[in-house]
Amino acid sequence: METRRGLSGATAALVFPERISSIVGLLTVAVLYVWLISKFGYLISTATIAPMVMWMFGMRNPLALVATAILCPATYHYTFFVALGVFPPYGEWFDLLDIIQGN
Amino acid sequence: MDIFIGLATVLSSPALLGWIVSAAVVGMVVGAVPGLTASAAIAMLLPVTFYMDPLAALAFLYVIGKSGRYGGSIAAILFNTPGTAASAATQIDGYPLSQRGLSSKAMKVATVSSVIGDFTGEILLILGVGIIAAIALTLGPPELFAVYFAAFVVIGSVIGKSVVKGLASAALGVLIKMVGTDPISAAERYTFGSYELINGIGLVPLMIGMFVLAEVLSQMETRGAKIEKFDEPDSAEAKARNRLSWAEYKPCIPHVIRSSFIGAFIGMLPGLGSAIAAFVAYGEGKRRAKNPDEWGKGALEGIAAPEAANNAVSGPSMAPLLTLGIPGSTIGAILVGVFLIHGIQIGPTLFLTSRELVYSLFAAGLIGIAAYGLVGYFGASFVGRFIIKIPTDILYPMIFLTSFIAAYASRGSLFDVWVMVAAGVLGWLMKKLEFNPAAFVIAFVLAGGAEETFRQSLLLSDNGLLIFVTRPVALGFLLLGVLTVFIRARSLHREARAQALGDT
Repeated sequence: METRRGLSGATAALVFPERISSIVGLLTVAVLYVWLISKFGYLISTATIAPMVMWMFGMRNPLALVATAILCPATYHYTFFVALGVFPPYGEWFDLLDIIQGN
Repeated sequence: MDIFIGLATVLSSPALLGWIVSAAVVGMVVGAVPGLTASAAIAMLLPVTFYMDPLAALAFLYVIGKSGRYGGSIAAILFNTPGTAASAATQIDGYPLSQRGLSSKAMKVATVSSVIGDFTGEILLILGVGIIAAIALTLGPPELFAVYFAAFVVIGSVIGKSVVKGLASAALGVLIKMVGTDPISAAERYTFGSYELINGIGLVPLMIGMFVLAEVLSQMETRGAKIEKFDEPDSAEAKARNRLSWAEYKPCIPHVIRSSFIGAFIGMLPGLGSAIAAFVAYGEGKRRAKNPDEWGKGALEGIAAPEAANNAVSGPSMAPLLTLGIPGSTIGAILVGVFLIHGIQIGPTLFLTSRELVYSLFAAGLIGIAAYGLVGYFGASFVGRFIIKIPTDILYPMIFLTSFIAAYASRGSLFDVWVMVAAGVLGWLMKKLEFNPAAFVIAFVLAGGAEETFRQSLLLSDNGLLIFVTRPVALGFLLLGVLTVFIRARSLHREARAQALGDT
């Protein structure tokens, strides 16, 4: 009897957090990010999403947001696609890399 | 003897030493950031290590795991927020010391105890792992399946507050692992006609989603929560008070020795992990202490005991991983991915095929302990100051972005990024509903080997499932699993009843 009761243990109801809208927002951004990568490649999508996520986490400094839009794609691109040699995800509709590489 | 060859290999490679020292620092910082865990850091950095030499990759991640466990104590002592679950016990006595202006002394005790505990665990691993591997080599598929079964059940039932939810989490991990191609008949399973699913769900994106994206989502909930400021000793008088003398540390020694063995023993058992070791050691230390009244109010022994235990887990938790392919922790589960990526088959034959690599990894662990010990002893306060300056409105967005590119980089596939996002949502929901992401991931890693040995056993058997009952070792492990569920369910029920009686 004790074992049967112990098996179920403590039960937790799904209590939606007060910031559920922020979480849903962040998830929407996550889905949008992957979709953008597939259509526009890594650089444009990261330049779009990075300031959005920083804004969602409370960053309000416009200079910082602009810097993020430039530095994040550049840094990640260099680290992963140049230094580590990972093949970048090319955009189906348009990719900035085509212009940068002169294709 | 092998360990000396391993030490020579590591010490003669400046690049490898560089990776080990940087891992010690990275792990310490990550462990000390509240909300970030060593598992999350390892999952994010995993794709980067694909491009490294196997020993450097393994050593880098292994040492991050070790120093991350230690780094949790910095946040527990300074910010009253355990950086990792394992350092929650350290917080009980660490933060009161910090409030009295003795944070540096508390961190020195934590550092010395962690280093002693970690060395004890690592040395026990080095001495014992060869014996376990030799025994493991004698096990056939039925025995191995029974070991896997026991591991599933122990991991599912011991981690978390509910046996049913733990087992359900483990079962979900097994189910997700079944997606892909049948290893024997090559038939497609749960692929729904999707080409990407034929190869199954990748371990790396799953880990990144579960441990990194899920954590970013959780941080979104708690965004803006204030971290308590710590009293950082600055004056010459305060610095003098914070010096740790031998007379002060001497009473901690028996607690450190006992806790190191407690941690090492718990570390060998899959699924129990550092947090349980730390609390068991704290409880046992308080019970045997000469000054039990001071525990909880800032006793140095109350820091030494849990810190020694939680770090002593690290080495022995590698024993089931390396000898049987059973990860005892989430860090172990991630290391499975590293071994696989570099084409190294873990299990008993590892000691025949890659003996030098394994002992070099242990040597890297020993050097890593010394590295984080030195950095921590002299620089933990600096790490604390650094962490409090990291703006979370920059840190978590960076982690968010890194999780996407890390998931992509593992196989160069956007499908893996979708998997990572889905795993992130699942991980966040599991935490909210008190299911167990750790049990899920470990079961996912174990499921492949378990299925293989289960089906090999049935092919060997003339009597179907009875092969598991007629072989004594297999039967022993099956009974161990069942017994664990029974004991755990009883203890949970008793705890709940005691709590209910206490409340009334």
